[in-house]
Amino acid sequence: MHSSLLVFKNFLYLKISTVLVSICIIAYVIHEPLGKPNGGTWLGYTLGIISLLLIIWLAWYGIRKRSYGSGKLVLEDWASAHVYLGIALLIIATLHSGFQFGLNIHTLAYIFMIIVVSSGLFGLYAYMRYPKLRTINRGEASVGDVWELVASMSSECLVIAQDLNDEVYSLVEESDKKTILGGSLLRQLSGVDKNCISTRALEKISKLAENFTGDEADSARKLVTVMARKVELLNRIRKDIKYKAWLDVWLYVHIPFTVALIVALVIHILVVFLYW
Amino acid sequence: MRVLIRYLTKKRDGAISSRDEEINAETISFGRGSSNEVILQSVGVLLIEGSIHHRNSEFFYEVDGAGGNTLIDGFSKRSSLIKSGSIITIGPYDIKILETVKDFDLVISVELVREVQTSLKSLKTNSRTRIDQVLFGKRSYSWAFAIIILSVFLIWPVADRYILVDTNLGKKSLEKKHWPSNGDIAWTSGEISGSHKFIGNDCSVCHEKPFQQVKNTVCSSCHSEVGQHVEPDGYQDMKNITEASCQSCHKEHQGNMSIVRSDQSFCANCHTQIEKIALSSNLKNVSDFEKNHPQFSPTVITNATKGTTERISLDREVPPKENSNLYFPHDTHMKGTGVFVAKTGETKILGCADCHVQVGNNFMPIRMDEHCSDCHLLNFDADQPARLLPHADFNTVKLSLREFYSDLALRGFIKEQKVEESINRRRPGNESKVTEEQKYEALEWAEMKAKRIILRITNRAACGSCHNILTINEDTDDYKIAPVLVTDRWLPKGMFNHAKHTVSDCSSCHLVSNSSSSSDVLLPKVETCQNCHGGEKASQKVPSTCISCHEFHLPHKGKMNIAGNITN
Repeated sequence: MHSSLLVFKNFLYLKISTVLVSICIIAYVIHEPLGKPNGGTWLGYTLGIISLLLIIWLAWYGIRKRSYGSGKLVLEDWASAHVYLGIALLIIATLHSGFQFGLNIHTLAYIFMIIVVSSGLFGLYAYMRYPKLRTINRGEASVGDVWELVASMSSECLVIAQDLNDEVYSLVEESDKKTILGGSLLRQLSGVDKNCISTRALEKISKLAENFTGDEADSARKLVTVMARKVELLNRIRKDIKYKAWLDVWLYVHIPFTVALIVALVIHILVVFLYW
Repeated sequence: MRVLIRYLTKKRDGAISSRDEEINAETISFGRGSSNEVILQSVGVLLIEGSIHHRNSEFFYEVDGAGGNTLIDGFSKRSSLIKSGSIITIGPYDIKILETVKDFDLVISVELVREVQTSLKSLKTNSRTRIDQVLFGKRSYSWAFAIIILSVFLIWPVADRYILVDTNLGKKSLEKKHWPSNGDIAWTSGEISGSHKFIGNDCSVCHEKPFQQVKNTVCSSCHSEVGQHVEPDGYQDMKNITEASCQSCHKEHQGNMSIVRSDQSFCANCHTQIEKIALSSNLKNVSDFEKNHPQFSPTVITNATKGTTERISLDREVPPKENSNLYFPHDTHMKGTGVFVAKTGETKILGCADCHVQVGNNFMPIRMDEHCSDCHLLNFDADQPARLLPHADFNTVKLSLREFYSDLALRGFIKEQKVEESINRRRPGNESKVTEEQKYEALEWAEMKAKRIILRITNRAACGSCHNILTINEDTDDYKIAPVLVTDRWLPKGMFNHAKHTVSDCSSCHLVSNSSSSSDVLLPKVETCQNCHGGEKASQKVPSTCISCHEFHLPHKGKMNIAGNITN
């Protein structure tokens, strides 16, 4: 998924959405309801039905995209329409509300809709931005390669540090055994680890190495060089984890809130007629 | 000493391979460093861990420096005698003392017994690189949301409203006992209007049955006296008004505001062409107060004696005149030089409020005894200036005069020269001896005086200055005050709130200073109102809609049949 999704079929779905939204806005402006504009007028019901159909169709995308090759429309059609009709929903549902909000199930459903659409928009942004950054960050190597590279450097560090004193060795050993990539959700999303054991070990070893002489100094220099390369690779992996996390995390909002929206929507419709 | 070192390596298939190494050294040191006799190349092993010494044909193991990683036969010791069967544990390695064999002083085996993580493995074990490793699945969150929302916003409210009802009391039992508020509080589609807030959060007051629109009977249970807008049988095709549901106009849950419709278009829908729709009503077309509103047509009294009224436009060629049978020139009373107050003998400049006493939005009726009599003294006899006539009909006045003068005559208090001698001659000292002739003379005089005064007061100087005097029979001196009828409201179909207009001078609307006749209808024209008031959309004037002055529900058109044949 990338920016071509937006220009798909020469902005066909942008055009469709614009026409739909324009009709709704014009109707809203022209309409003179009894009292304030609200969901209970004929236009309110109409906008509500349009919003409902849009939500069902948009949610259907989640199921549709799993079954490839069925139907007339290709997946790009669905994705492009999903984006533009999602934005249209934001406007049409707002008109349906008549800008009347309160502490009730109706506004709750509206808030869920806002969360779903905004997270979807973020997802669109993520898909336009992060895959590119990921490729640049990764360079020629695959993720697996980089991990292997880090591990081999770590082992190499151990070998180099074998004849250095225990303090240095324990730092190298700790860096080998306890270095963490990623971690908690926030750690993954931030892409940095201020307490990275390897980074700290590198700093300390550089300092200790100043006092070494002869063979030890040579080994220490070699160690620092390899460790620095390892740390650099670690940070690149962290960036990759960050990009991947941002590519994934919005779905953890988008999907559960879509379910929440559908449940709230069913209650909203039921209650409106229960207390007609 | 000669030592045989046997390195044991466990293969993947579980078999053990061994590699022997023979060395000859004073001590056998163990550690990571390459200077050791036995190199233990693994993480967790110090540069030098310790060494085996040979003393007095016995072997000792001694830990180097601080040590700490070494166990000898399971115990952490600095130094210990070792013999065949002893096990020295250094990090992941076990060093066993074996039975000595020929040519060797000591035989030991070295085996890496504890698996050590490789660099890649430990890195992978430590790391969490995907979000699904640190969060529950999307499905779990979805289920959690769905269950919470369903429970709070559907299951609980439905249970509270329809299921857990105390059937004996017919009331919801749950909220009263266990919950601070109704379950269905979150179902509200908006704040209830201010005047209905007393209902509180009890939705069932109006929403009687599920999936049924609020019925008119709910409204009429309180609002039973609401009037129709037009007579139900008056015009054709008016059912959309006469049989409308309350909800079609009065929308609840729109916030803390009135639910009375005030939009001009609602009225203008019909009234723009009301001359066509309701021809017989004589109503004029209207659509906007400023741009299209007919001239005021006050209901004036055309004949107070007969009690007839007529609606006449202020724009008529001959302006409407009111015939109230009362003469009252405003100009004379409002003179800048003031009026003479006979009662006090002073001059007073009158203001409107001296007669028109405002109480709230209304004015008190003007009364002769309160507002007129200080100037218009009803005295009738120069010799008796303190005596006043009653403000009553002629018969009462006549009777009163006759009584007054008879009393004077009979008691001999007549001051007139001509009659004094004949009637008063008995005095003094012989009051009780009034002859029949004297009585007759006295009563005749009294009758004459009364008649003369009656004649006098019927002219324009006395009663006639205000009243229209009707002569029934001149010969019998039969006169009558024409019935007075003053209009209370010239525009009975409109409402004007004087209390809201007190910032303006009365004269800015009511041009009274040049009015010399009470027949003048001193009502301002619609243009005067339009100076300040515009239509609903006015931006430079006070925006005024139809219901600023007019009402929709008109009690005189009959009751809105909301409780009857209209069920919805």
